[in-house]
Amino acid sequence: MALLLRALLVLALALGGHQAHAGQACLVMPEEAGAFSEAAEAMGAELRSAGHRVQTFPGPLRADDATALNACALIITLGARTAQGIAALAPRSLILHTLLPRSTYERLPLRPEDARRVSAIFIDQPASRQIELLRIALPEWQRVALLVGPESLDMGQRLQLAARDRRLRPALAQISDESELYPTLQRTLGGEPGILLAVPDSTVYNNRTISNILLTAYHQRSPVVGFSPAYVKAGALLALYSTPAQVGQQAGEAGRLGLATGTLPPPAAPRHFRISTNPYVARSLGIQLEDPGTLRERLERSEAGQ
Amino acid sequence: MPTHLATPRTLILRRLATRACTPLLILSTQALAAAPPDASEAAYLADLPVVLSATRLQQARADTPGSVTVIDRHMIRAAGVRDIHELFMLVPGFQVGMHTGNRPLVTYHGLSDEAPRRMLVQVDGRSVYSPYFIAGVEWNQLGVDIDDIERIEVFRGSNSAAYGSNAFLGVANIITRAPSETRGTSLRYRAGDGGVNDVAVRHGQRIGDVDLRLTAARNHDSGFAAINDWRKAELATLRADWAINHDHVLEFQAGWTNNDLGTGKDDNATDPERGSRITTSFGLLRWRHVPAPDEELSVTWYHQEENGRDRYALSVPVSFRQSGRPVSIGIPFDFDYGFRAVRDDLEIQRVTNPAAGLRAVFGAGMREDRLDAPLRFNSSERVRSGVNRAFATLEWRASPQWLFNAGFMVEDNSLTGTSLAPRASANYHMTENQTLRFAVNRSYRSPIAFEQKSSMIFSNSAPIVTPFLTIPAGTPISQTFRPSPGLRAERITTYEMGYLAELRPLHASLDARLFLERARDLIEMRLENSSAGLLPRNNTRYFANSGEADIRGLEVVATWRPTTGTWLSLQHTELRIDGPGNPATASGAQPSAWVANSAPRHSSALFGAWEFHPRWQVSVARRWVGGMSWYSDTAHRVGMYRQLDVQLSHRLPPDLLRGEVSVTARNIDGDDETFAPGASWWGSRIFGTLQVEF
Repeated sequence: MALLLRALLVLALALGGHQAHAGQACLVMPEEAGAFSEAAEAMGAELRSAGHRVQTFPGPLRADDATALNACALIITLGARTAQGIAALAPRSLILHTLLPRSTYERLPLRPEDARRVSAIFIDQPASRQIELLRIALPEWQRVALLVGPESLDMGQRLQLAARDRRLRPALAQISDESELYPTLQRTLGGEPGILLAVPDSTVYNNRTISNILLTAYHQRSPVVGFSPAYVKAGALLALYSTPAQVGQQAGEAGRLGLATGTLPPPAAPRHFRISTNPYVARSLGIQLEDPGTLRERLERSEAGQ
Repeated sequence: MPTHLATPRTLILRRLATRACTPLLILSTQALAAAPPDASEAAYLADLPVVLSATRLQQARADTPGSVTVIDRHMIRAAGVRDIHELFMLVPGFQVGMHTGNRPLVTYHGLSDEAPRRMLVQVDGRSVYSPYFIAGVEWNQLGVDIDDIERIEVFRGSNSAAYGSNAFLGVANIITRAPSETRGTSLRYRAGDGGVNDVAVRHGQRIGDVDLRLTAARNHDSGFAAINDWRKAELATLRADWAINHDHVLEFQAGWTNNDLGTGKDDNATDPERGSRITTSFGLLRWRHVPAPDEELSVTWYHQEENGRDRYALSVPVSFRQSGRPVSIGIPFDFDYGFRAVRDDLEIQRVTNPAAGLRAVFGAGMREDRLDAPLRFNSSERVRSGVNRAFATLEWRASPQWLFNAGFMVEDNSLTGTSLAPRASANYHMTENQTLRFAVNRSYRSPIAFEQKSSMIFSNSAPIVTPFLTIPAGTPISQTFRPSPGLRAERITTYEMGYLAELRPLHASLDARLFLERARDLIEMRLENSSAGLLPRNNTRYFANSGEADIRGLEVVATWRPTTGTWLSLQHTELRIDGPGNPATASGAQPSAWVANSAPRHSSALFGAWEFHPRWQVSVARRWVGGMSWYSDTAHRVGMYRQLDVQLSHRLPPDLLRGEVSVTARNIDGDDETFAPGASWWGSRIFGTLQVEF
């Protein structure tokens, strides 16, 4: 996918660079824009480098913004709520939703004819990449525990399938209420230690529960693999994630391609990613872990080879 | 109820679906899920608090500056113990004896008597080394329920550099479970032989940003056969952790214990059978600022109080031989061993990571002990003592092979002056699985107020009227302890070499510790003639820095633990203790100084658990303890003994009820004398336990 995208981009720039009209790209920011500024900067820089004008719309959108948005050749949304807002407006321009979970994108009201005009760069990592990282970083671990809630059932199932494909032993448990968390954790991790692969779901993983989850897993000698650097800081063994800047860069490239060709590339997971590790937790659990840079290179090589 | 999706039936169906038509499966599950809420990106971008900070994590065994035995919650359960002190029977180098059924004695590498006082126990950083009487760890009053413990880290050796004086021989850190891990309600009931009747209730809840746990427990038993050593131990504890924000946590603990204990002997003129009571309470407040896993600033304050009540009136018959008077008389005494001991302790500690590969811990603290014990000190004045301290430890990971650790503690003790306790160690990771450790340290034990200032003079509580004279009330009759001014701190210098192999693919480890511990200025209880009081004595006690001991030995532990519920651990300890003027070659043949027999030469233990069927576990603990003497003479030597514990436990089916039911048989291979001949028999006991959570 990454190679194809790159090839398309190069092709588009080579063939149509001179004819491309400098279109206006509009970035629609969410209300709480703090964490998104890096992404917006990366998108803006990429688009401006191709000669496009970039206008930023701070959230929430006002009524008169709708008219202004009609003038945009490309609308890039940042975050799930912004995506839902723009999808409801159904403008006729190219729309690139970014930094939203794949499951949220899949539930946006999209018509079949929107396929070439509407696309996305997700915030979540593909299931295959997450599972491949487990194989690379923790080759001796076969058991993978997945604790999901209503929001993350889809992702849990994708991970379960990917894990089985890679001959791991996934155990998926769903809870619908926070009170079920502790007994379910105990049961899922009890006995034989396994990797607890965290999935984003506010019912399961939140500020109130994180201490319970990390402590229980730690006391069961089970490493936790998270999906953001905050997880590693909190006590997860490692985390796989893409920074907003990485997603922003990719979105900028996809936007350029869209403005150059009139067609956006298909929805994609982030191409670039980072890995963080917690050496204290690794040592305490007696796990030999390679440094994050090596893990990333190995994972990239593995993906490139597939 | 949580839905467990990986049941065999659904698993098979899903496998089929996976092979045949994956998209269909995804579609169907989406259709089935009743409109799941839309996920947002917030979880990917949100900050989280540091949960597993460097201080909370268990240090990797290959990196510790000494030998550490960890007893975790699973092992505590499998050991089938009712009391925390019993767990030390499973730690190499430790001796556990029972003076009576309610007076446990625990010591590391001997050098003990009926009041072991050279080991330190801390509960979540709160020292439970009592300043009262001859000091030591009051095992009945730790203020923690055994099921609230996450793990006990036992540092085998001396470590005043990290824990201050009193960490002389052996340090046990009891770490309780975070209240976020113990939400819900738990009930425990235990009943069995020997009057065992225990009940406990625990409730955990989150209120706003505060995680709370409240535990109340009562243990009862009638002690050993034929002696007055029954016990009713009550406890209530509260722990509340308030996550102020991502970086700041405020921890509050409070607790109360009450122990009603049978004591005394029916044929003893001054120590009759009776009941006594000790009540303790404590409060602890800790503020922690943890901006990163290896950065922490904490301030801890705790206050604890012990109140003892043991008062009885007796007329003690004194024969004319004893009194030197022409007639036998009865002297009325009002024995009041009541006391109150109060401790305040404040400490500030910083953990930081000044450079790559370096980790530093430093801080300072102050402690004050206040004692009211009129009979012990022959004074109604409050006895105060205090210690100010400063400490630092630096850990340097010089290379993947070498880890160096150096630290010190400076203490200024109001009773003994200033002392510096340094420590240094080097861990050489020979391979990924094997580590050699070299360590040297100097540690201290400061005498407590009783050792320096005790003055026990018994006076008659009423006039004694004889045909020849009348002795007015309050006349000093006899002195059993006199003050020992000028006592210095005991010191010990330890040299050790450790070897650790951790063969992870085999789930096996081997831990060996070879050591030489040179203890000097040991405070010994000595006897002298005394003419204080009406009745002269030839056995008035005082303390002097006259003891010394060279302890050499080897501790080896081999463990195989494929899962958290199945393990086998074998351990053996070889100890040789040489006293002054008693060279190692001759100590076996000659009547030795007291230290030589204060620990067994050989002791071994086996501790295993087997989860033989899902949710069914059988566990066995077997101990072989060589002959030793808790007293400083050979007449009180107890011979070698063996003990065997067996437990069968069953975790209840979660669909029915969460919990566990177990049957435990302790010491089933016969009664043992573990303290002194003729003192008490540690008998066997069988009990059942039911623990449920909801």
